[in-house]
Amino acid sequence: MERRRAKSQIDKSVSPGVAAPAQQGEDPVADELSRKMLSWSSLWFGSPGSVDPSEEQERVRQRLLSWLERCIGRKASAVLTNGVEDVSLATSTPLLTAFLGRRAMLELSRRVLNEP
Amino acid sequence: MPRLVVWIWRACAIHYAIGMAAYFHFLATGSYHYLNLYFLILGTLFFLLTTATEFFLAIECRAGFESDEPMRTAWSFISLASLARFAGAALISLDHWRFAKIPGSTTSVLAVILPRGLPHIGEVIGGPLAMVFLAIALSGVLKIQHRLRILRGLRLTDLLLIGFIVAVMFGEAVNIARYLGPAYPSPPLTKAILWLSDPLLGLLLVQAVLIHRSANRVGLGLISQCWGMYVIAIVTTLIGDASIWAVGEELLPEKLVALTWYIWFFAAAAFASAPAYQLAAMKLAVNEGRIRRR
Repeated sequence: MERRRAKSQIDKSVSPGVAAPAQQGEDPVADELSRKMLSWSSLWFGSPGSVDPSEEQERVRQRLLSWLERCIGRKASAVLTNGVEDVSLATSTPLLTAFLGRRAMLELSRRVLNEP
Repeated sequence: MPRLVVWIWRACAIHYAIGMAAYFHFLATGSYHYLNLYFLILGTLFFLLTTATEFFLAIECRAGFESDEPMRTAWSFISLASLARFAGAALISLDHWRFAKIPGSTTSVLAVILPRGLPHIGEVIGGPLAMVFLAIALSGVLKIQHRLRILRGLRLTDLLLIGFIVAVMFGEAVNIARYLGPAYPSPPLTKAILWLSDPLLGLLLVQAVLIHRSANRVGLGLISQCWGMYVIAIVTTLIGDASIWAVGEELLPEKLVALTWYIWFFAAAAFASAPAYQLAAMKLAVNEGRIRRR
């Protein structure tokens, strides 16, 4: 009981945004952080098949497909998802981590996200 | 193709070229002199070098995974399998040198200090023991492939192949049972363990076929080629094993018997190049990053 109460106090103290989201434009730092998190999550999870991906999302997807083809195989994306357009770092991480190891996957994710 | 794999197969091709020269000499003259020298010196060296290479590469692959990752266990057993093959090759080669004369001496030092059962111990370590380690490793890989849903079931042709192998093994078991009768002395332990080679090889083949199906499903990337190399190595070992049986049954003419000894070099090269593919895949991201930063 005591532990649960303490945890909820900690939650409120460290993540006020979750309990009471800041209004848009009120806190520029929170806005910037939120924008960055949205951008990174869209790159990590990709865009659902029906939504048009942004140029950056498409670049990341192409780089990931190229790495998947070289490391695992040409048809690896078909095994992971229903269509090539659904391939993302989130869907391919389990397969790549299992066969390349966590360390190599970390490096590969960096390349996929940061390569020009 | 990764550079290390190219080097392994280049060395294998050079080795085969020299071996073929010795074989043609044997065909032309009927003398085993150069053929014996080739298998005793270059053949032994090739086995020792390829198994040592496989061991060090497998250890490198193992180091790329953290302790809680399932592939680390698989690579640990592959390392043990390659170490067992290296130890087996070393023990058998030591026995080959047992009767080699040392200048100024009438007998070899090795003939005095080495126990007589050395080649049998080497055959057990490099054969069934190495196969058990590899079978455990491949079971781990199949489990991972099953979890990731890339494992495919067996096709009709696979089932027919497995059925054929089971039938051959059953035939061999009947043969072995004959030698266990009261008319024959009880076999030594090493010989009894060596009888397990064929069933183990059959198990490895089933695992190899399953892995091959999954590799086909994802396409030929570096990781798929790594497991594909194990499939080639296991199938080549099976062909080598079948050739030993054919020679034992005197089904082959003398000129072809010597040719069957060359099969094992191909299997050794395939075993060594498998971890080289895995290592190339693991180092790809890191190495490309370094090249780009330069």
